[in-house]
Amino acid sequence: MSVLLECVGLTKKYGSTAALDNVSFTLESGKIIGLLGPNGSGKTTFIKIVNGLLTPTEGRVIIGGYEPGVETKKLVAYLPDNSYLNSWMTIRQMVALFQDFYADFRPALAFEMLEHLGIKPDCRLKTLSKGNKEKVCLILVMSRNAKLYVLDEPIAGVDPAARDYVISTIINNYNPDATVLISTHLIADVEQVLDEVLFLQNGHLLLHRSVDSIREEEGMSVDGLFREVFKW
Amino acid sequence: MVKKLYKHECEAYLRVWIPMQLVLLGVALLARGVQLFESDTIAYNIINGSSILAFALAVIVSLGLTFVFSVVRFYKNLFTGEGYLTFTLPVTPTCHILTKLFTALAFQAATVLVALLAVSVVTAGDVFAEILKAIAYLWKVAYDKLGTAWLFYVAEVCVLLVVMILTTTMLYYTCLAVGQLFNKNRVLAAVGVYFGYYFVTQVFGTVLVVLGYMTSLLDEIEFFFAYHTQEAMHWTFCGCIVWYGLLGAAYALLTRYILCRKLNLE
Repeated sequence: MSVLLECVGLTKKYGSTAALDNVSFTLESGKIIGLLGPNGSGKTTFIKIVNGLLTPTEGRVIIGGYEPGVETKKLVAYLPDNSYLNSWMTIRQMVALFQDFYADFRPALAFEMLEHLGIKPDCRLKTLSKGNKEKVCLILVMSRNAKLYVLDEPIAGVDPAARDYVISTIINNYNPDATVLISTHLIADVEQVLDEVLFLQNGHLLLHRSVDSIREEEGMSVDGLFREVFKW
Repeated sequence: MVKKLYKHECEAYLRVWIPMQLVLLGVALLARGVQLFESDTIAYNIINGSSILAFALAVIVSLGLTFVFSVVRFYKNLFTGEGYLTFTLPVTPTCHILTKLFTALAFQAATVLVALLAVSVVTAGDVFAEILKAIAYLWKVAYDKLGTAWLFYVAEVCVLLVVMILTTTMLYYTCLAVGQLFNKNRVLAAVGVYFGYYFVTQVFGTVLVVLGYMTSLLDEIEFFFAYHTQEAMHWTFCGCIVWYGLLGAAYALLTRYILCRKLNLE
């Protein structure tokens, strides 16, 4: 397994508040990793830095040998926690946009997944329900053959049945050599697919372990450990 | 990648721009159609006057909305939820700024051309012929008097117009970029930044004029204009081009810095 993402002394401050404080770790290829932590722990800040939407105050993050920029954006498929599609566009136009900008985008796969869900490609995005918009976002992201998938709260706003669809879409469509980083509060729903977890609290990395070691050494699930670590 | 950015940017404009221009041309045709039923009745005069007024308003609205759309597009595509997609495309912030800027310029120019076409529709016939004759006459008089210098003036004014449009558009973009640094009421903050900047430039301009009077610099400039008019005009136009160009570049650099280092998406 090669190192895909390396984070060294990563710090992000907003004024005097540190959203991330001297965080260091590495992520290897071919893993599904849970980025877990309570609200305000720095998960979204970290994700934004990885995607080049924020610049760190100190430290650095290296993805596939590059600092966040044009080259890393070719490697990273990002699903933000809010709808980011241009609502006036049709789904077909969105697919064309992804196809134009991402060399690794697989339009046939996107249309296949849309058909499976019964979503017509010529629908305008503003006419879709919130749940369907989120599914379209996920389909577009998972239709890329990326090296790193960064999914911020992919199952937060959907019903339990849709959560299963989202998780199966992630599992069935990601490139097996790639790394999937999933940020979520709904640990029990994703736990069964995770290889590793990162626990963040107040901008600090509390733990970076494999799910198997947590089960074997702690004798509890990731969800159980999370509840114990972050107990009020 | 830049070509693709332009393609998608044009698509975004066209969905709004085409219907707007069709309305403008429709109003122009209507106004022209009314003129064909020439009559001296009061009712006709009211209808004719109203149609011309409607046409004038349509031209103003068309020009204004194209500019407003370019500003709204910049804000929505970069600083709202859409920004999460825009800034994760494998394209540099510089490309985003320049694509938005030059697409805005192209559509503003296209809007002016459509407005001229609409004017030619409304004035089709004798009036249009008279307008063309007048323009040709003015051109000839200017050329006879100034020679090739006239052609330079025309070129300088054209370049100045383009640079001014780019700089003005860029100023709005910069104000939006500065406004998004605030955590709340970002559009309001951008409006505040614009008026604050406008106030500062006005104060600065007034101070310069007062200094000019105090140091007799303005008298020297007046003298230069009086005795070296052509040279002074060229200096003025070229100076304005450079000044506006530098301002535009400064706005673009500040906006680029904010997009690269201080992006603060909602």
